[in-house]
Amino acid sequence: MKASSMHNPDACTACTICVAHCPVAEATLKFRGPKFTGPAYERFRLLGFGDEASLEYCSNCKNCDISCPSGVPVSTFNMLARAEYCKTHPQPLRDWILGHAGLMGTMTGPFPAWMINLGMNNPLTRLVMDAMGIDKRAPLPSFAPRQERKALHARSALPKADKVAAFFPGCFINYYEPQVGLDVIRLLEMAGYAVVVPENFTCCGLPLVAGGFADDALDYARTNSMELARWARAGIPVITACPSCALMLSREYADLFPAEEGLGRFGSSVHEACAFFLSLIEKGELSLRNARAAATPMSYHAPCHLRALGQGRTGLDLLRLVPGVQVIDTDEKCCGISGSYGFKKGKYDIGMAVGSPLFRAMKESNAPLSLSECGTCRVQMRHGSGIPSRHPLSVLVSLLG
Amino acid sequence: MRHTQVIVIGGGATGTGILRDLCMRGVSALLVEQGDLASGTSSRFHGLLHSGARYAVSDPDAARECITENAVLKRIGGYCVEETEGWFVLTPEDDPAFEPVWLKACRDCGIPATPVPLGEAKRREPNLHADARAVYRVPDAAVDGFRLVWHNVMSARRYGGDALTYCRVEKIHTENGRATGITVQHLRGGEREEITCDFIINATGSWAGNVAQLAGIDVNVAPDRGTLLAFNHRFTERVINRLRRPTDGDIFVPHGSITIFGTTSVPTDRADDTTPTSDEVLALLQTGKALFPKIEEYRILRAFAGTRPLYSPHHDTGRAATRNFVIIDHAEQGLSGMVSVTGGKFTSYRLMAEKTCDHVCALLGVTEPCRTAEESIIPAPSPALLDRAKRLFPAAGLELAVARMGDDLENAVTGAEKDPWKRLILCECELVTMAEFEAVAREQSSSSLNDIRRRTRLGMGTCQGNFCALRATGALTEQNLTWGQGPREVFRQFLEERWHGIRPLLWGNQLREVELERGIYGASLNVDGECGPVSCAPPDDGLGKSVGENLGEGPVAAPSLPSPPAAAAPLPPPVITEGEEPCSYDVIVVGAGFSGLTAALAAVRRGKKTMLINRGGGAIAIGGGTIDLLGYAQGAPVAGDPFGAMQALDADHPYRLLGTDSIREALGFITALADEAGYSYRAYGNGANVWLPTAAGTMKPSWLTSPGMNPEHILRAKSFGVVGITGMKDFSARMVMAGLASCPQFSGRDMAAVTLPSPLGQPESGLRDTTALDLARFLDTPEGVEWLTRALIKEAPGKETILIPSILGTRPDSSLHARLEEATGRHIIELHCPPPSVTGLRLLGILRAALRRTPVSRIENATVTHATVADGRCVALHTAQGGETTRYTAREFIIATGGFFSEGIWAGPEEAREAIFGLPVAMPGKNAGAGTHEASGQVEERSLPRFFGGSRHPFAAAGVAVDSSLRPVSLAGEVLLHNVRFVGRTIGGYDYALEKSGSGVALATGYYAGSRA
Repeated sequence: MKASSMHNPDACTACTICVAHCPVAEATLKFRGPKFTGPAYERFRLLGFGDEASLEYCSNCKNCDISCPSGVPVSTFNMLARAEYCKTHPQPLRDWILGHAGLMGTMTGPFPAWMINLGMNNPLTRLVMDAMGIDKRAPLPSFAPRQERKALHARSALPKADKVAAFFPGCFINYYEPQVGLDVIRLLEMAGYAVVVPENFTCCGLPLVAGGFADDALDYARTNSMELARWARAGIPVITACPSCALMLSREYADLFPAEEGLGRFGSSVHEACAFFLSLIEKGELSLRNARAAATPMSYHAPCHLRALGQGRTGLDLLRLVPGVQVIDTDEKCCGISGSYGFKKGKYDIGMAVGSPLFRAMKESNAPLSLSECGTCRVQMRHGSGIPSRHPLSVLVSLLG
Repeated sequence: MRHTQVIVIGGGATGTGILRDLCMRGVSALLVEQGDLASGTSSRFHGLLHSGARYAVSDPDAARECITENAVLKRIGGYCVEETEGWFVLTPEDDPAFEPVWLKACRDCGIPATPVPLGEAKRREPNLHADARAVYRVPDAAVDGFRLVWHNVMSARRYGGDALTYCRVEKIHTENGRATGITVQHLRGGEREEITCDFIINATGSWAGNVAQLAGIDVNVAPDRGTLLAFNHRFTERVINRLRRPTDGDIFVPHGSITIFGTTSVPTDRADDTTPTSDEVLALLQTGKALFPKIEEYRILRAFAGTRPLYSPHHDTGRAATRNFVIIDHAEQGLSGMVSVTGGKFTSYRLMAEKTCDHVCALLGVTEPCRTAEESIIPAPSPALLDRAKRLFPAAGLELAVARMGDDLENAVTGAEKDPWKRLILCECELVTMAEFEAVAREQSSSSLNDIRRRTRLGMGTCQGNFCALRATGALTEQNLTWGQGPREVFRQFLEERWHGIRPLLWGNQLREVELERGIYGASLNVDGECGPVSCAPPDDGLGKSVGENLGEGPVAAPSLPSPPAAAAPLPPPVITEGEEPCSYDVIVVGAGFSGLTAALAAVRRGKKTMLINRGGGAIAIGGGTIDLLGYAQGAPVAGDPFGAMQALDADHPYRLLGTDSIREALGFITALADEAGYSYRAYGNGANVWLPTAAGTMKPSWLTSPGMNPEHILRAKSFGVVGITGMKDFSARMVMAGLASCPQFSGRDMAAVTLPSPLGQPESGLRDTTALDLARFLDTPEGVEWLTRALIKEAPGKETILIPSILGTRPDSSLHARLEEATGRHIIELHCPPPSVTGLRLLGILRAALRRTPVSRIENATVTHATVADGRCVALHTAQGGETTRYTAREFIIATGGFFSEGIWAGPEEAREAIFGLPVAMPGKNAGAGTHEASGQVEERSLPRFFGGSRHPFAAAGVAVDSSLRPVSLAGEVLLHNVRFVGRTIGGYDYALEKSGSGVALATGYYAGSRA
């Protein structure tokens, strides 16, 4: 079914506000811009025209959606069009690998992290990957030690408790930074929750959508929606510390697969972790009174997909509740990584150009530590600025502990 | 004196079909048309190439003609016909007994009608009503009337014929009972011409009676008016008919990028009765729901009407009159050598032409048979030409260009080969390239943008000319092609024509588009207004001062500005009091446009715990970035002190409510913020407005501007140069010059226009078309500054003052302008350009830089859907995300959600309401009674018949009524919400576009609310 049945481009007035706010259009003239590839060209896609060539430059960062005064689902048009295009045009292996990061992570399961990392990050492998289209300069994250992942997944059984929360790690935390997941679990426990890390969830599917593998994403969406339904019926909130996973699970299934009834029906049971803790504080279930002040200032970057969630800069708001903590909001649009966009050859330089105002702001803040809720943002922030970067909740745990 | 064998009068489908037919038979023929080709009924229909199924029951003869001609046109008119197929759909509202009758009739007429399984129907046309009872497939198709008519003329020209447009027949000459020729008036050149002939064919459709009358002959044509709607997108892939006896509103035709829906049928006494009404639009929508239940959610681009030429010797009217055509040889009425042909349908135009020509040729002794059914109207372009075109146009553009251009494709291709910049897309909504545009513009038949529009679809898409009107006029001006008109006349005429079709549907998204149009052409470019007050200072003796001297003096700040308020100092981080509910706020501001950001900043700088919630980035990025206070009052430019002029405004004008002290305070606030950011806003008008030259070549009044926009040196300069950049399609240096040259204060100045080569690469490289924003981003880099400095020194004419588009960097940094002036030794003035707006982004940069230093909590991409209100106070606001809502509490609320454009106010056909609290907004409409003082009115009462003209459209000042504290009030003046203030365009009582007061009101109300909350 064509996208036309659910989304139509009629609210677009061609005003160009999205063009002015698009970080990719700012970084490269090769992208015709969100208005053109999105709602404007949609009228020609409905006429049966083939795709607009510059669409490949869209990074799905969603600043078009955030800036649109008309509520036009610009990025949804672009992603659905990319999916349509990819149905008839084979995608490079590179895109398959980057899109299926979750699956790749599963495949590396039996091997110890040091071995995988040695295999992945040695210069020879990087040259091979470069030839495949993964830029050799790209800051590929390292797999985490197996014991950390084991600790995260030790909680697969449903605990018997009054207050239970389910934690959805998402691929990044799962494979690269399980410690962030452990920090979130620790905070949930401080708030009196027993935590389960369900085994049946898969990758949220957003990397697949960005890579043009909509059918695979749909499979994941179906699996995850069934799992979400299970937890929603049990009255157990599902918490994720990845803003992109939160966006996908809570909102995007319904937008991307409007023909699939029931997908996204239980999206409201998914909570971005920082927003969840803010609500616990409001309800008096968590107190930051005993948190000690951090010694040094920190800079903060709000991930685009967190801003797209429409719940605010939650990690920033949360840490600013700790007396004496100084967090400087860099307030720059996008770090440029957009999941795996910035890893790709031909996109790496664009990603770095997109992120450069952020890197500059991080350095100018003179803060020795930076914060962001998104895992790949943190990778790019470290890469672009040389400044370490952590999840706000990891910092909060250390202030409370 | 010109002589031709046959004169054909009427440039619609029939007339041009006759012209082609005659020429193919070797008869010399000339067509004359009073307007443009296809400007009458032949373009004012639904564009349906009938299969005949619609007429099978009521008029089997017409149906048989249709099915035959349908096949012929699919064969010969490839570039005009889209073989969509058509469906007949039986809805629950339709009489099922008609279905078998219709099926039998189709069979009898030889029209294949095959059932479509309902499951398949649902899958193929998901927008169609799910309760369809039966669906049949017929060979309907879509046909482009404009294109078919033009292609017929192109074909005729290949056989030696010609067509004269804008050429009205004044007289038909007769001699001894025989028509011998005509006298025509050339409407554009003004001259008269006599043309002699052997025969006259009157093929003027609805006008046939009027033309025959010139020869003293009666032809009884009853024009029948049909109104249609054009929708913004294609919500059906095929023609959809309702399976019932033909009546109003039962045909949907997908047409290129749009969908056309019609029609109505109302007898009229005027052939040119083509103004659609809102009643017709609303009635059509109501009917259309039976087929497309969501039709009211689809945006209507425009309504249009045409008149069917129903031949009515017995005075039948409407749908009772036959759709068949007639050929009347006036010999029966005593005049030989002249026939009239009228009635009939677009689908059978070729057959009408064939029969008419058979009749006329027999009389002329011509024995050549008709060949129009065998030969394609436009042959496919040669493979060589297609290859050349492929290299020039993007894939989608190629297909469109080949179909649109017909025989003119070669011209367009040659144009783009000669100058690669002609590949730029002039009309982004309909993908019209500069090459196509110029190829058509150069033709003799083109003498307005509307003429070019009918050939190319320029301005017929989403924005309805908002962006391409100015751009196209610039392109024409660069080519010296403005047909003796000034640039303003060219694009205003075009936009007025668009307005004609928009006015009856001024609600919803189309009203939002109109607000954008008023923002660009009214508020930013002042295309409606004067060149400035008459008292503009003439060049004085201060001429020729070196730049260095002037720079040394520094900009003159308005003496009236107060120093920035003491509260403007940066704040320490917030202190959280123990036990305080941490998630509630002192102030929540909704909306992050100019007024909302100002309000949030004013509040947080006073130590208030502030949250800012917004959906969308606000209109700053498309606004002018200058602080316009009050340029016009009482319909005239404000000549002296605008603060003085405010006293004469209506009592409910936001400026009157606030008072001038409050406004001056707000101006001080923004000046201080700008200074902090390294940008400078000053009042350069010595106590009066400052008039800024614009990219449209107009002058626009403002109050605070950056030094880079200060027009002082153009007012004083003896000579100035306007500098454009190749590929920057929204800025034409020649157009600016032509516009300014017509301003009295610049008459006699020495001016020159120069276009610099683009620094951003060639169009062959597949880069997007350049905007001012792209260039400004380049100027953010040292290489960019280097480029412009060198280019201005080397290429710009040796003028003391240089006007350039606003490209001097996106950051609020006044030093770049100063450095450039210094380096080039010239005064440089930046002109505001159409969106995206560089100067607007600088203002946004100032506000963001200030906001970044505050602890304001920011919620983006959230729509506030409703509020909890108790005892006349707002308790909480609720935002929607996914399926759930979030609740935010505060003591005070500031609503800066904007007007119609930003959806702070939403208008339907019947009423308008404020978006969050549902407050009534007075606005004329169908049932405006609910909560408003307007009793009742038509949608047309919302606006004036002319879009431009300097008068206030009634809808323009619609908004929330507030008291002097900006709190919403009822009609009786009672405060409705005690802790809610409205700011910016959400407030009524002023017309930002006409007054040039938008940014001033946004600033003043935002600052007031933020500092009182």
